[in-house]
Amino acid sequence: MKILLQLAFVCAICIAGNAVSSILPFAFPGSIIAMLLLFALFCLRLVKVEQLNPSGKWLQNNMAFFFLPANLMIIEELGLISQVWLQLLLISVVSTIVTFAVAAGAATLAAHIQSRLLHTAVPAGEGEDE
Amino acid sequence: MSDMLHTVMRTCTETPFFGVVTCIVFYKISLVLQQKTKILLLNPLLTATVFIILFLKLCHIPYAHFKSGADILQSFLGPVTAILAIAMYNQRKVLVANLVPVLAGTVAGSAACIGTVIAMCRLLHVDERMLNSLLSKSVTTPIALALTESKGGVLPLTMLAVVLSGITGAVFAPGLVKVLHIKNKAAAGIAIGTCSHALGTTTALQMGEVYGAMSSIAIGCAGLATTVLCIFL
Repeated sequence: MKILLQLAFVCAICIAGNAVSSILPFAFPGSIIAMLLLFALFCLRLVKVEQLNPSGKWLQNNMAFFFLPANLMIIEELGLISQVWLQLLLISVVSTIVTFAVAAGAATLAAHIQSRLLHTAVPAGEGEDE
Repeated sequence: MSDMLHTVMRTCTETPFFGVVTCIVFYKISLVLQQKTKILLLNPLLTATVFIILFLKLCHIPYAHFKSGADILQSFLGPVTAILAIAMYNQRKVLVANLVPVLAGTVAGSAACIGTVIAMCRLLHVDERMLNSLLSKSVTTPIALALTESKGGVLPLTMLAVVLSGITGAVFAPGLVKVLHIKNKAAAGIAIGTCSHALGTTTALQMGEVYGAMSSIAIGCAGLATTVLCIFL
């Protein structure tokens, strides 16, 4: 019964997420709203992570398995994929490398600026004439 | 005799349980295959997909029969996405401590990802449907699928692009860190998670604890950043 209730709770959060998504004036997936709702419930301490176990652990551990059906929709798109596989490969690889470089650059820069600001902020009160 | 076999086969595959059992059995076989061989390219999701396609084709089982069971499993994508909140919540302390570089890296990286996808799709004359399927290619699968669905893209294209991106990140990350002279370990970890989600994070964890922790945090943040950026497209 515990597992059923936990699953029911997670599904109810998903329904709430979809409801919010249908009201929003822009496209924002309901399942991601559900994730944010659940995160908010954790932060507000209305729900404890342990209260969702073992169902939560079960869903987490077997996450990849639930992507299998979406993957198999490929059977109906084999024609399309045989036409675009080279572009798909090219875009995936190049864009991933560019994303890596930009993210690393931005994070390094931000960390650098942050540590600079923190360093100058500490003695700021005493040595302003520098 | 062959008529009878045909009827039995039909009854067996027509129930929704057929799709459920097929998925579970082939996924388990694929998991064991990767655990035994330890080859990154033998991603269980990829090998299970290939196995099931071959199985359905060789046994002449209609996809519609498989799909009725597969749809039951697919409806779990919602709860699986919602449950990502647990991982996010467990990492909140490290996230708050590194908030500025994480935000900067994931937002800039996600923007770069969307930008290069749009630019390359235009350059290679790819249609809108494919473009919409690739926008979310660097984020974690449940978020990527949800985004593609809301954009009207092709789910299997997204799956392929997500897995290809993950493998690219996992294979090239250590080399890129050296070539681009990234000395800040946290920044390198953030970059790995932003460009190649959980698959890349497996490599980040092997590179070191800081890399792994920052990469895990970047997965959720990059997913959210990409979702928000997609609103403006």
